[in-house]
Amino acid sequence: MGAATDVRRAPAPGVRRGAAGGGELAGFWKLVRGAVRQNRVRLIIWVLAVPGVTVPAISSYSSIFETRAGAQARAAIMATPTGSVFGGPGYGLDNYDIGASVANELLLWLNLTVALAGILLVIHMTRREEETGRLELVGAAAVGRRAPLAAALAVTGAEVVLIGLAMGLGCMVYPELDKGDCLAFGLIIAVTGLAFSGVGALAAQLASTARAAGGLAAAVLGVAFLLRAVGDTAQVQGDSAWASWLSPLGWANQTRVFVDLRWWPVLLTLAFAAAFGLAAWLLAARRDEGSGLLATRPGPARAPKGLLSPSGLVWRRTKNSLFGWGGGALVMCLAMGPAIGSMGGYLENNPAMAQMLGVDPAAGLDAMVEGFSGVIVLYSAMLVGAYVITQIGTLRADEFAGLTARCLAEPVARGRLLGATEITVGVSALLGMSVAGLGYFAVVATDSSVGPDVAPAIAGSVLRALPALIATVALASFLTAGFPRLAALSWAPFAYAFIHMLVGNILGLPDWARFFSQFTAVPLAPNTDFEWAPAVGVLAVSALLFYAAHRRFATRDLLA
Amino acid sequence: MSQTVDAIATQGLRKSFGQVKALDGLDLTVAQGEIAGFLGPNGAGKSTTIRLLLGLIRADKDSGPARVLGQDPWRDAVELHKRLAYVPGDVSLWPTLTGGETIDYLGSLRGGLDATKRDALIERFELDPTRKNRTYSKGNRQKVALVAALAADAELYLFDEPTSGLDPLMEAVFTGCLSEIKAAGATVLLSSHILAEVEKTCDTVTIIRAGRAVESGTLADMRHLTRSQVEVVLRGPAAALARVSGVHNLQVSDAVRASFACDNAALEAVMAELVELGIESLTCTPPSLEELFLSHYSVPAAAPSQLAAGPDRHGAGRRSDSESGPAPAQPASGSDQNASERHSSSGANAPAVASNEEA
Repeated sequence: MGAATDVRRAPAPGVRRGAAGGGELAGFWKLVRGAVRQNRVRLIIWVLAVPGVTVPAISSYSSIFETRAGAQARAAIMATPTGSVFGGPGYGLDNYDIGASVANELLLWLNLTVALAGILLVIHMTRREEETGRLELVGAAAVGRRAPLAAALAVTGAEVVLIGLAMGLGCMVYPELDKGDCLAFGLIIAVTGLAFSGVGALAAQLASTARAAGGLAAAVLGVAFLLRAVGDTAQVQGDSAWASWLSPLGWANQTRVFVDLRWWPVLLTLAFAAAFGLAAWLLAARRDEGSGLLATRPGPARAPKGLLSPSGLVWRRTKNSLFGWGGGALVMCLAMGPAIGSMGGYLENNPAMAQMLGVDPAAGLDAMVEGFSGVIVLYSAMLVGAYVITQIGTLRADEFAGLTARCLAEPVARGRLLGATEITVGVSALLGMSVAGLGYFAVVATDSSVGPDVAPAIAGSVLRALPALIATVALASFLTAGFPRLAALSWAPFAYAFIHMLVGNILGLPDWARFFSQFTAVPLAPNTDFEWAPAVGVLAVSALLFYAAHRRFATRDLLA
Repeated sequence: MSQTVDAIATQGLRKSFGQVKALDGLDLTVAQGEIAGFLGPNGAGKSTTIRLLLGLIRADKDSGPARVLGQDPWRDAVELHKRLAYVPGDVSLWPTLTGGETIDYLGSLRGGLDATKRDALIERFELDPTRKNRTYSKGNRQKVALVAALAADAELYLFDEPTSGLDPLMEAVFTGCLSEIKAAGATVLLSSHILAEVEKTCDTVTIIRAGRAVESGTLADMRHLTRSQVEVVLRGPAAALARVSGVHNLQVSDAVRASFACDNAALEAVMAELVELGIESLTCTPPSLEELFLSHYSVPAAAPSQLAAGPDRHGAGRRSDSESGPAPAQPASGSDQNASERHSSSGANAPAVASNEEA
């Protein structure tokens, strides 16, 4: 009977054959090794940066909870809509302690971070590989149809689990935190990461470009954020939190970790991850290499008038990004509104936070709102600054892609091409900042608990931030146009300002330390005197940088 | 009485990137109204030359002059670009624009395109202008670049491997466009690897290697300067041929049977020698176009004179082989047969010549 029984049917889809065999997962381990090697820098940065930044930050919470009044003031803020939108559903607010605050204030942001890590990594390893044609090389080798997706999911899954584990273990260094809850905390982060890795994997199957896939997955994450923001706010106000139960980000907080731990919401998240992963898995073998399931819509055959100039092209490419970053700044400003009233009580009881914001807790509510507003304006300016750096940075990508060369082969002076980018991005940034500032101004002006002088002072604060944005354009332009390989250094003063703001006052840095970044050189807080000299200095340095950028761009070789 | 300036004229053009000499004294002349082929192996400096001619990069300080349409390509870049059009070899486009938008945008940089010409070209190249650039295949991206350049009214067209990725039908359309450009009196510099395209369209050809021109002229001229393959059965001992100048890579079997490469310029003299020795049978195969190019591509850079030598230096091949530059340890009879055998000097007794510079 030998021949008859030896003939086997091909294995069912997804069934793995022997270790040496072909099948849909052939080459899985090779691909895993390759993905780890190619992405090692990314993988290491995520796994070090997330716990590295967050675990030490927990220590700053201990000062809040030194006094009962401090804890209550903090809880009062978290009970406002602002607190629940940017925090959680408020478990443990009536007896707020460090554990409850870590769960209520930190977990959401950790989940967002790990979700982004999962989305970006899995798309990078699947759709990006496919888009750039690298997968075709791999696929032509002895590699199963589903092996690339499986390898990407395995590597990304392992990465988010490692991040969660590191967080859980990191929290254990704080004796105030229960060890079992720390482990659960890490696990919750890990499964949330898995859930959105699944979302990213499915998006990568649906969309035909990494960019579109990233947008699709980010939209799912955004909806998840909004749902739980609505649900958590309702819960804090004593209404039904049903909306939070539609979101993996909501499920994470519904575990009541560090307050009254329950495990079963984790199962929901796991099921969510499995469902998305399975959907991606099923699609992976059902579509052609390189194609997505969502068709790309045709566009106009002729360029509209607005596109027909260098600045028209820059505007076309930058406007979505402007709406994203500038919109983010505006939303942040508007969302801070409801918390303004509670701010005073909170800062009175929290000298450490007051010191960080540079306000005197005894100076009264208006002074504290002003000090707090300085920070909000600075954050907005930095969001808009991030927009500037990414958009000026497209010049570098264009140059390496040969697009700059193609444009300069037309009768266009180099200075015109660079100037169009600088002016379009610069004006967009100033407008974005002004709109966000105007939103904040409106929120404060309509808040009856603060004095009538506060809102105009805030408007002045927004104006003070404008030189920093001009300097950001200048520096990014100088580096990108002058020395494209060093373009990433544009972020250095940005990062410096962030650190200076967080720990500058606590470390007792000397006053001149603020001059290392355009964002901190001019104090923005409306309750401080406007300093002309640094503002003029920032603008003068900007002028020099603009000049040097144009000079060098006009005289150097294009790199590609 | 104004004399016509050459469309492109460079003398001793030099360009280094760090330690690497991309162009090492390039002489390139293209007369107005001519379609000039520009050939050479990968990395020979073709794209660098075109980028220099476009003023995208600047020549070294010790470089000789370069003029494009009588103007300085670096200093007069903007003025000059009103008069020329360019298609890069590796076309990337703004991913979020459609093909049609890209063509119009690039056209707007030169003050607008002739809409009729644009539409006609889109039709001829069968391009769908409504698709987003990121959805185009390589061939379609190439079409976008071609339409954008051909729709421009230029005196000089610089094409850097313009048909890579195009199907044969579209290549034919492009060839048709070249004839129209020529009929209109404009000049073309065409960098290409497709020999049939070059043979069909180009008036002259310049071959560069390692940053310098090793050959330029018409194809007919170049054929004259290479070698034919001769198979002969003689009445007397064939080994005597080793002494004859113009004979290369001699292989003798059965004492009377010989096979060798013969400088075309020395063909007459070699035939006379063969007649002396007594011919039983003879076949003589002229070089194919492929062989012609392969021979130019694979000559070591240090010894371009062997093939560039004019008729006055015929037969000098063997000597220049031994004089010129470093001789690698390997004898030429190694792996790289089809390329090397036409260049190694006759027989195994001759000095070794580079057989494979890439090795």
